[in-house]
Amino acid sequence: MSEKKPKSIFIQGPISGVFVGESIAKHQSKTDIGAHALFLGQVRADVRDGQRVSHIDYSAYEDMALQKVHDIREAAFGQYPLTCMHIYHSLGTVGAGEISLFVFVSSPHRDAAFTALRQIVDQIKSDVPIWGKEVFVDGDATWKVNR
Amino acid sequence: MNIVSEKEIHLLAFGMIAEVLNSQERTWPWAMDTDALRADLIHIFPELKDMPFVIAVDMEVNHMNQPIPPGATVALLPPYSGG
Repeated sequence: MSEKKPKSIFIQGPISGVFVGESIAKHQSKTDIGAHALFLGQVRADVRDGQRVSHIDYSAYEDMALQKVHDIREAAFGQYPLTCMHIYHSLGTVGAGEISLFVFVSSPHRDAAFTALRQIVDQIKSDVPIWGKEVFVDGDATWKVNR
Repeated sequence: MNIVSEKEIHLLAFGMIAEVLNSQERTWPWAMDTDALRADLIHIFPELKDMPFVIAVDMEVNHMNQPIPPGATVALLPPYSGG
């Protein structure tokens, strides 16, 4: 059994396009991969009661979140022929239009990559203790509700 | 993290629950199980009665009532909204 602490998934603030691009480039040496599937979650400027969302402040129960993500990873590796998997989530402030979630799954063929990606993103939303507080342009705030 | 005695638990709160408790982390009198703890919390913070949250004991969430060992880390978790 691995008792070591799972690797962190958290990035302070938004996940940059450069970071995503560099993550893709790092896989050029892994030539058994035939398919990458990526999910990028972006903060929407939703309008509610005439107020537009300016940014989301993310917080998490970090120790439990890392344990849950570890479980999600292990389950997906057990179910699908995946070569590698990378998961990142923002903490702190992420502005509308910026990226807060990056899931990157690689496999020899596309079916496993697509299917695993969908499952992992759904499980991150339902099982990982992370919370988003939507802050409106006028400074009011409301706790985000996932659909 | 504070040292908790055998008659206390280490209580964590997140999201809207942390706002009601006005803290993310505190020591709290030990309760024998999660139903008893929920009742104690609602007695002190009546707003919690109408707020959805689950209770994790040492990072394990069980939707049934579960025992709380003295000294445990207990977390109050409103519905998740990551992503």
